[in-house]
Amino acid sequence: MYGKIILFILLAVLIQYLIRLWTFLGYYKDVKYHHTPGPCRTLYEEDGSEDLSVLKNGLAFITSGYYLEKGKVKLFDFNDPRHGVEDLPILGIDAVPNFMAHPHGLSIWEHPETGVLYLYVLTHPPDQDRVEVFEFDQTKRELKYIKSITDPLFRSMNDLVLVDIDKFYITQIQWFKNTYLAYMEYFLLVKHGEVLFFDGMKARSVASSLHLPNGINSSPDKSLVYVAEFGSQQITVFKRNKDDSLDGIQTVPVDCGVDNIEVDPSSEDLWVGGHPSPGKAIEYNANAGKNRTAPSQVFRMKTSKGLITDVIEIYRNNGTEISASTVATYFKRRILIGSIGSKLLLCDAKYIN
Amino acid sequence: MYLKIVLSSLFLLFLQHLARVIYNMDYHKVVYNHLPGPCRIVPGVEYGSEDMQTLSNGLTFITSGLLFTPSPNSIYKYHEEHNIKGKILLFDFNHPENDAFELKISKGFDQDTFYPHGISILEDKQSGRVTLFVVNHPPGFDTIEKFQFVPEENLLQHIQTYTDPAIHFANDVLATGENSFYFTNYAHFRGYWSHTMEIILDLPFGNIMYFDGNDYKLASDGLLLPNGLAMSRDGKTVYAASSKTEDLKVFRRESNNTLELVQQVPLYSALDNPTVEPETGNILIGAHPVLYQLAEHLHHPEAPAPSQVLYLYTNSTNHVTFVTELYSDAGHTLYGSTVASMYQKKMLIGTILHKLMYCEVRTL
Repeated sequence: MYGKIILFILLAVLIQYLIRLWTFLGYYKDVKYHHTPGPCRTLYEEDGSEDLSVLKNGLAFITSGYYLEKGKVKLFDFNDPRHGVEDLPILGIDAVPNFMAHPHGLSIWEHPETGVLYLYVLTHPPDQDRVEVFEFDQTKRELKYIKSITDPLFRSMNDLVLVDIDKFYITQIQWFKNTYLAYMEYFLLVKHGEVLFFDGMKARSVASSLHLPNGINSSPDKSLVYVAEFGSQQITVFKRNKDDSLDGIQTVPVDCGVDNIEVDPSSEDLWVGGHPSPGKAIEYNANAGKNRTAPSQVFRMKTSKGLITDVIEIYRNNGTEISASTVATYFKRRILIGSIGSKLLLCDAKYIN
Repeated sequence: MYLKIVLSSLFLLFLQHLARVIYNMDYHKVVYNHLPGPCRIVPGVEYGSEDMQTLSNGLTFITSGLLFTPSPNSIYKYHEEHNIKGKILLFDFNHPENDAFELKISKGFDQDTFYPHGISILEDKQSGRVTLFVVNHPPGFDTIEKFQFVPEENLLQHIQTYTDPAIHFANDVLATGENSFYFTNYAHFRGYWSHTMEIILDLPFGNIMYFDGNDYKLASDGLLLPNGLAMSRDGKTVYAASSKTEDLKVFRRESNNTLELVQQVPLYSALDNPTVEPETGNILIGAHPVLYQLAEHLHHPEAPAPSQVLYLYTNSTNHVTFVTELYSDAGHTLYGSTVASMYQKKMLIGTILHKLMYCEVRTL
């Protein structure tokens, strides 16, 4: 009798887990219709554009080469789109081992007094994740390496957002770097992703129990922090406290494996790139994007006082035009869409209300 | 022992069917919002705009005030409470600011029992004559009404009523000549509970019939809830939308007017009425993405139901090549979209029992 009850309970646990896994993998969302905000064209075909950020003057910086041992930072000028995308030369890096390995998230900091632009790029060298810091020379259009920042708490990081010089929030998406253990982590649906705060000297955890936290960004006044949870398929809005700790104040379910977030400084809209089917994105990633496609989706989220009020789908594709989109940003009637490992797409936005 | 095997097999069969029914109700589905351009509700249309067709000059005829058998009692009550009348509206794409107004119907036609559903229009380019075929649901049985449009008087002159046992459970009509047309029989059973069971059990008792001027013949049989019909520009292909199998069926017209299936396009949404854009031959379809919300809306029109318009590109052989979602609403502004018609990059979206939406299409 007790045996039957235990069996029944185990069966119920198994069934609810399978349903949650099926919802998480989202293969049923790999739907064959498309939706674009206007005509789109490919700026480049290979190596990807995992994260990008655009300045108020229309210059966009893009990290490329997530699957490569040595990636790049590329530059695109929204004011001169026909010029295309150029690789930014990086100076002063000859002695640094495993430089620009698998570049991932990116954040830009403009010094409020001097106006100097600093780029912080998260990379994955074999030993420990680190953040490379560069200064951007606006006239020569080149990057000068300043230093690398790392911390023993940096296990498997994804994206970062600067709040002051050398101070940033950074997402720790998973625990295991080993492939098989990481898959176990994904499939067990465990929520132990974290957001760490690096205060200039060391890192500490400020938010935990997140389900595969991916992209992170902040409101223009830096009072709120936005985190995209790829696993629970939602955006969480955190309030920043005086001691830099975070309190969750809003959760917006998006039903898409959301990746990176960009915030438009004038409209305060959030632009989010994502993977409608996390299962297909995981498969795509496992093969480093070779011989695979994965559906893509881009959202624009309107805000009011920093809180999200509307979610609008801007772009959706089954992977034939662009696979595994991760990020998107808007500038003067055009949208730039980046992906993990293949293209960079430029679309005309014919209607943004 | 054998009895146990038989019983458990039947139980498993029932369980998997139940799982499929629940899955098809779309509880897990999320509908996003996006517009192809600025959109506005056309004032004055409150009780539906189920089907429409636009002429080459931009004039659009829209059916409104749908009531078909079988309907739940709450719908009959809704009709009584709001004093809903069946009507045909006219909208001019060249003067969208004039909104939509009701066309008069000739005396002698019983407007009190007029409940229009699907519509199909023949335009005679030489004589300028406009002939309308409209599916009607007077209480008790279904008919197909033929009208002629008298533009100077904004009047529809009733010409003929087609009745026959073959017009069994009519949904949409597709005119092929002054006295010939296709029409869909949505399902077989006409009682509320028998109709519900027919849908749940996936019984394929719908069909497409053809009237050639003399007889009613079967054009395609064994269909699951065939809904709207449209014709390709060259008259060689018939497009049929299915609500239950959630696909668009592309049929080739044979010499004897039967229909031969040549392509099925899965669209993951309960499709309603297709229209063909005359300039391009591309297809617009109004659809219902979430079935449980549609079911609720069909019982209580105040309950929101999401809306969707799909745009299907066709090639020179009238096959569908590529699909774009033009409009999507999770149930904020427009409930239960059934049809969309585009004219010079402007679009009208119709609904079962809700309003009429006018959009500029900038994203195509």
